[in-house]
Amino acid sequence: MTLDAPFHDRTEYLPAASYRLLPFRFGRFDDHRYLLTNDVGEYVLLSRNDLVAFVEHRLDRGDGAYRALKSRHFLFDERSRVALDLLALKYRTRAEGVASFTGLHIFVVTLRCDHSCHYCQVSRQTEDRLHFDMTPAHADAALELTFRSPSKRIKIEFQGGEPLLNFDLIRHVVERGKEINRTHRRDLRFVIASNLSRLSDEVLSFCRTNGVYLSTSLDGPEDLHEAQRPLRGGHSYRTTTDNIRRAREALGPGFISALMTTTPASLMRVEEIIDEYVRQGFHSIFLRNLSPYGFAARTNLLRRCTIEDWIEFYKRGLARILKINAGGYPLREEFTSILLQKLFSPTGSNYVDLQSPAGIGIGAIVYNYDGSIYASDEGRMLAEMGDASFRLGHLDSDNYEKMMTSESLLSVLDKSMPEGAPMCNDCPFLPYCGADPVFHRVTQGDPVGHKAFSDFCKKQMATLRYVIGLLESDAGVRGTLLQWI
Amino acid sequence: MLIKLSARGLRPLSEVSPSSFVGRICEQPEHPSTERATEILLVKEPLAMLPDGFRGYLLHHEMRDAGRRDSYVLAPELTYLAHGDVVRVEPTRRGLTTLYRRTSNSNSFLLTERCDNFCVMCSQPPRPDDDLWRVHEWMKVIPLISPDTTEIVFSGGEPALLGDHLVQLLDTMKRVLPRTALHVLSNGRRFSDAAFARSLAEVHHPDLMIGIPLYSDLAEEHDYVVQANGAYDETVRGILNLKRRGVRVELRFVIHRDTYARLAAFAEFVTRNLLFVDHVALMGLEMTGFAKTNLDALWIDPIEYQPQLVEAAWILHRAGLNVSVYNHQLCVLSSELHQFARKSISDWKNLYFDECAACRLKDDCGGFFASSTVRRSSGIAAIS
Amino acid sequence: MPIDEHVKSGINGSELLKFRDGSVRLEVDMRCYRLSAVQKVAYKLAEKCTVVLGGVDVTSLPITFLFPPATSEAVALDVIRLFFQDLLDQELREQIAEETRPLRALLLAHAFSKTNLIRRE
Repeated sequence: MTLDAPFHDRTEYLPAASYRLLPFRFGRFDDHRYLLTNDVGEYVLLSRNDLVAFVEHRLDRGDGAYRALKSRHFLFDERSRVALDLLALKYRTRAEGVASFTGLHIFVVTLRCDHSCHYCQVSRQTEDRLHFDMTPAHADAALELTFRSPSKRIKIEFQGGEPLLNFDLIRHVVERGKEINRTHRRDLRFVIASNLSRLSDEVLSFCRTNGVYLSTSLDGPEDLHEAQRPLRGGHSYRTTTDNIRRAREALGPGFISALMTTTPASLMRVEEIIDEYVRQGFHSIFLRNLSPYGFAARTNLLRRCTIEDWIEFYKRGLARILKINAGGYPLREEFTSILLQKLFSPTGSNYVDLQSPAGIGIGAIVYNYDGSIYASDEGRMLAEMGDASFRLGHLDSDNYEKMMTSESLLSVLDKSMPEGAPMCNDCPFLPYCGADPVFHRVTQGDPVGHKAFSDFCKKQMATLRYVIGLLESDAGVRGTLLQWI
Repeated sequence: MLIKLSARGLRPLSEVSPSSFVGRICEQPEHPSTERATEILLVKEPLAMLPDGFRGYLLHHEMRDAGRRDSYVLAPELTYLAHGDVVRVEPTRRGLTTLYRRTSNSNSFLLTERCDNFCVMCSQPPRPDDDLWRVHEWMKVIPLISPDTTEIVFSGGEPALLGDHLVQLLDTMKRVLPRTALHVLSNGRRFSDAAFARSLAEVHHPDLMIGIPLYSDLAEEHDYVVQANGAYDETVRGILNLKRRGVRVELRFVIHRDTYARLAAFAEFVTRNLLFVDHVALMGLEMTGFAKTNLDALWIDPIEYQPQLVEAAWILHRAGLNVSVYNHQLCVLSSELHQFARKSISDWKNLYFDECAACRLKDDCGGFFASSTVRRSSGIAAIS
Repeated sequence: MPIDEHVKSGINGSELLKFRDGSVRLEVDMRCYRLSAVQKVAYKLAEKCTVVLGGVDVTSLPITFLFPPATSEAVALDVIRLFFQDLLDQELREQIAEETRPLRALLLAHAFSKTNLIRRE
């Protein structure tokens, strides 16, 4: 219904008849649709006809496609150029995160361990060899370097071996770290990644007093967990689950989380693994992929599962998780949450393994038990396999500037950026993806890799395609997923 | 409680001033004689004699031989006036306009009727005349206002058209009423001039928020609703300039037939492009002014747009924005929106219908505009 | 998705794609496609087949598609179809890049110029 004078109808306020394209990438999404994305991570799904019409400037300003594209800054018309101001602002916001680099600092406090997990990434040593512990002097040097990072949020994660076997050093780092932070005033957090077999009351009390988080491994139901993570003396599953309960009671549910590791045996049992997490009272699970490092690679576990097997595992797992959510039990899948953050948050996600530029050195730094420093957890594992290309230096000999501006680090960051890599620079999934130079070095021999042969690429494209498809398909599912951000 | 803020309800008992004047209502005849020049004595119970020195006298009851200049009997509709209120007495038209009520939940100062937009649903239709006299009047009123006042709203028309006068008003508010929050309603267009945004920000008012309407993710839709080409670009640039200077900004979206369809698209646009705004208000239509003129074209029963409103509110909320839903009743709103609903209607134009008496949620509900009798939602019903 | 008319007209020589000894040979009309587009698509399909480019002149580029052993004819022809569909897409990309390159430069310059950041409290 139109309005009477002095009011004008819409014909008085129309956009220009022609429009201009803004930068974007596109690719085939499914049998019917193409996915278009821009540099700031907004997306539109279009039929090929609409895509071609759009590029050939044939869209009518009243079309639904025109309006969707305009709203998300894929096109603009001369009568409203504020789109350029907004777009420039978004470019800036997205890039800002890079300046507050290195939020994650991993302290490998010991290589000693009491478990013998088949897939272990670390060449673990048995318990009684004390010169596999980090020294207090190295820990102090590592803390100094940690606080050289500009990041306002700093997470210090204790790993091993089994870190609780060197609890005294953990205590030292936490106390000293908090002391240093009194002047720095960062958002400082501590996490202990532990199998919990050494979770004494003393440790629990310390964690409670100091707000320390615990992260443990739970691979699935009892038989699977026992088979994959043998504990000397047995009862690995019972020990883990009993201690999860103790930790939850002592520290509160928000302070204890669990991670699974995926093996060929896990691939067929995703629903049971998820059900086990629910049974243990967790509200978060990370469907991780099998990594090509450490013992896993050496024992040729990789040959027994393909990336397609894993993708199937992920889809079935996510379906199960969504069903559990629909039944009223909140359960978040962490990898999906990371993808969702990349899809919707203006600053993306800070997940170290999915960054552009890559997260090596600028996402995470690892201080090893022997004083050497690595650009990532995987970089350390690679060194154990004989390739030290991601070693940044040593606590005894290298200062921060030398470490962080070394040509080897910077050139890898530069070369591996998707924006400059073949196939990646045309890929519509680019704003939601990242670089994994360590993975490509292990699997293909160079940090960039040929993406047509890359399991990382296949995994990223399949999972992003799947998640975007879910978001577009069902309002209920979309609502659940968006709550995970 | 409905109140008439302006009425021709004064019957003079004596000689009157030739022009309008402003004063503060005082109920104390023994008010110090040196401080009576700006006070207007309110006489509820008859006095033998009116004390001298007050600027004027407003009586509930007839009095013979009032003996003071500017004495008037108040018509019944004006007997709500109370100590601390500020009024304009208009002797020529025998009228009185209440400019400020001390006990009100909402005091709004109309700074100008001029505006550079022409919104199809404008509840305060613009007039082009130069009305700077209003600014001068408010400068006189501000010192009379109680420093305990929680919040004052500056509205119009378009307050930013006053340029430096607006900056000066903000500065006066900061000095005279430092504990009073200031909410300025503006279309934001003049703030596309970065220098002006800066001079406003540099007042450093301690508790300031600019409420700026934005009606779409698309320029053509917004420009149509405000009936001005180029308004959208200026408004968005104004928002960006204000935020660059650290000024708090609220987005206001009025829901009617020409805006409801893109509510979700608007919400997503805000989360993508304007995530730094301090508040988003999703508002029901007030059926006065142009909204009433254009009602047939603009009316949509609120129960029909609940799905879009729910989606928009949750998109904004999930992104971490502060969201409120104004001017909707709890019976009409989807229950998922109750947590965002606020009691937003100014007391002097707020009413409840007969069926509300039986409603369990009446105390939590903001009720209706006085103008809501014009057209009612079919969803209005007491909740048991 | 069916091969559209544009694609058919770009394939010189025989209408039939002959699959022989695990390979297919054909010629691409270089008045229809850019060399950079052909190279990029060849790169992208490297896992499915090896694309050998011959000597290019103004009108014609000979291409040999080498398939992994035990590839059936049906699968091979599917890959070729995919090659030409991707080629059309790649042409579109190059067109878009040409048109939007100046704007991207402008946006980046504007983004990183010396303006105040907007902080979210």
